[in-house]
Amino acid sequence: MLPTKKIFQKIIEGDEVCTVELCRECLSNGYDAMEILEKSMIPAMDQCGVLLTNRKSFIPQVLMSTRAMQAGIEVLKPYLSQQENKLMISETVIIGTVMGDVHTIGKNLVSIMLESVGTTVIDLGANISGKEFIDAITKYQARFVMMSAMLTSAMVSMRKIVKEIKDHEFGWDVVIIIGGVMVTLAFAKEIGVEYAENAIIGMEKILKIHD
Amino acid sequence: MVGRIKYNVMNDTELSFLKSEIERLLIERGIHLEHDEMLSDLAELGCQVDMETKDLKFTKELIDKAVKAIPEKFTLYSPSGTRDLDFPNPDGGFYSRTNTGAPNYRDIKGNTHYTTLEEVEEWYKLTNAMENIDFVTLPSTSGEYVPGDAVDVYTLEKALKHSAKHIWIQPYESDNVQYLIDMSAAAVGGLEELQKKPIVSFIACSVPCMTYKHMDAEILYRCAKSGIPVQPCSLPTAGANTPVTAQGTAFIACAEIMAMIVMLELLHPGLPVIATPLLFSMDMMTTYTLQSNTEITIARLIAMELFENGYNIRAHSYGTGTDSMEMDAQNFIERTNLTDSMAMSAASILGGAGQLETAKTISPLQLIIDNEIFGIAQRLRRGLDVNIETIDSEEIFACLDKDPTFSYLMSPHTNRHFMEPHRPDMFNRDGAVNWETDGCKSLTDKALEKFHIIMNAEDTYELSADKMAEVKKVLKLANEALVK
Ligand code: B12
Repeated sequence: MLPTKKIFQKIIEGDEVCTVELCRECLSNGYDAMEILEKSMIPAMDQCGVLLTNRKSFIPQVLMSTRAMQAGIEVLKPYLSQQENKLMISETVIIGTVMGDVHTIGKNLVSIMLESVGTTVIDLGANISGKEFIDAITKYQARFVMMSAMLTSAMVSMRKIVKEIKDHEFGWDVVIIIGGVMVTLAFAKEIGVEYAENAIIGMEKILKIHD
Repeated sequence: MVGRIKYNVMNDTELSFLKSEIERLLIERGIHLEHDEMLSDLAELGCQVDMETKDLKFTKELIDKAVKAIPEKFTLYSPSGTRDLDFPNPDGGFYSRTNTGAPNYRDIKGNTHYTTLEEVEEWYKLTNAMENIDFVTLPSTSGEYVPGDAVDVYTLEKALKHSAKHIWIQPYESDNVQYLIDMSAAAVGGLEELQKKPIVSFIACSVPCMTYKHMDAEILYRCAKSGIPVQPCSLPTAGANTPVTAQGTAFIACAEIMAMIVMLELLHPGLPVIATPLLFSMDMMTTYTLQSNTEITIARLIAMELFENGYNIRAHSYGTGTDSMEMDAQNFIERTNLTDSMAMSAASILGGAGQLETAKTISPLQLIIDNEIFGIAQRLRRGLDVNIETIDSEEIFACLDKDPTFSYLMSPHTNRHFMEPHRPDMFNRDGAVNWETDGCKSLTDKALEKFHIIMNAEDTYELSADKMAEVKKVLKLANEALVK
């Protein structure tokens, strides 16, 4: 089996140790870092995405795969050109559960999924006010904000917080994605934001918009 | 004998292992409690408290003292006085309650939307008429119909006005707790009356692992101060915020509840408490929270056994419900599976009547059918006596059946017992011809008929006008203070 194919396989299996070893082996055998990335890693993650979307693999398996891939990328980084490394700079996402709501499980899941694909996540926690969101967006110059609400009563504060963020002048565009058990596409449309039904779709949305 | 069928899911070694691990957790790791007043009171009572980090640890002596203080017998009273619930249940049966907190209502036409206050009234009219539903909860209204900061207060007003049965209250915000207590007190003529005959009890929820947010601590504290019964809950999600194994999830939920019970009994020795582990699991493929996973059902039984048999504390969990969106076959398989398992556990209360979609939706038709299912489950728990009269051996030994004129239909034994078999109200017990003549009605059709009969009849209960006026006064104060 081609070494690049082996790396692909080990990422799918979530084998971090082997992935790292194989990456090192390939580099010492003269493989180009970008080639490894393009031929093994990106296709492996695409495959994981397909398996997840088609309900053919479990979340922990995918998380192990992404962990293996991140470890492999760390090995490749010094061999990538400045230009190529720039592509690897991650997006920063601010996430939090809105004021009046303490539910965190869904939000945490979104964070874990995003971090697993290399996104920098600033998790503000639960019960977060508009000001706290705005301060974090400013501080981290973030383009993405994700909000969770699990209570119908918290949707009132979600609406308010979204308005506060939209009314604020950051100097760049901020994309807001909302989710949570009571939040619907119709509600998202009404308050003029993006909606993701679950953590997987949320992660995919970020990746898509980032592209 | 009544209440005889109960099966154990743990052996003695497992039960004592679980108990000792729970106590070790409370002693060695302790809890995180976000409530300064309560922390200092508990420090004075002997708990080891760090006011800075808000961490608290118990001692074995305190745990034992608290467990001893739990009343063996107590009553949850009903506003009407006709449905008081004595614990332990004198018949050995279980009590049942409706689903709490679901934001959506699926009306009889099948439309699903946020619950309106009119639908809350409809709900209580139905629950008043359901003979197998023993107490009620607050359906969740939404910010669309009542002020978002006070949905619990507005819903409670309707409950106090209409419910003939005991009310279990789920608060939404810290500041609302005292108003919910005051409102309940107003409905019975004052706090003293409420303490004597609590027509309400409260939900307080831990946040796994071992954390108590201010609101829930406030509920525990206010209820302890006011002498109002609490049914402390833990809602862990296996694999998300507790171990992925159902047993590990039961362990944490029970420990969290045990901590709440110990705190309540230290603050108010003798306060009626009911341990309420409401376990969930996360589906590792779709990430959604599930209620009806099979292992989680067993874990509920573990938790029931731990409290009821291990500590002689009354215990309560989901007794019905589904992850299905519809009243379809999955729904009925999941809910009867759970109801029957729980009916045969040591549980004192089976909850969740009327719920669909993992506690996010309630349906009046499902409630009417759950009333039927609980009736069957109650009968299952009662079991059957085996003795000379029930096996009817005398007639057989006497060879009565050899007499050509003998028929069991006419036998004295039949005459004594023919009324005993449980006959669900709405089930088809007829032949094909009659069934067709009657319009080929399904169970849901009959539930709909029953719905209309109940809704067209006079309600059996309404709080007196003078008491209602007092309730309204508190509602007004709450509205002024809470609605921003
Ligand atoms: C666990 C739980 C709790 C735990 C939360 C623990 C924690 N650390 O989060 C505790 C016990 C603390 C709790 C408290 C309360 N809860 Co609660 N809780 C639940 C429960 C059972 C599961 C929620 C959950 O975590 N699911 C697991 C995650 C993975 O699923 P999820 O959050 O839906 O997330 C998925 C999607 O929604 C999405 N998603 C979520 N957030 C985001 C964000 C983004 C950006 C994106 C893209 C996607 C996304 O992705 C996830 C899937 O991949 C639900 C019932 C249910 N069926 O959902 C009730 C539920 C949400 N709670 C409810 C209530 C009423 C409360 C309380 C008010 C009650 C009380 N007195 O205790 C308090 C809240 C107090 C407050 N002010 O916030 C009601 C809500 C009703 C309503 N009207 O809105 C529900 C429906 C249950 C019920 N019937 O009572 N709860």
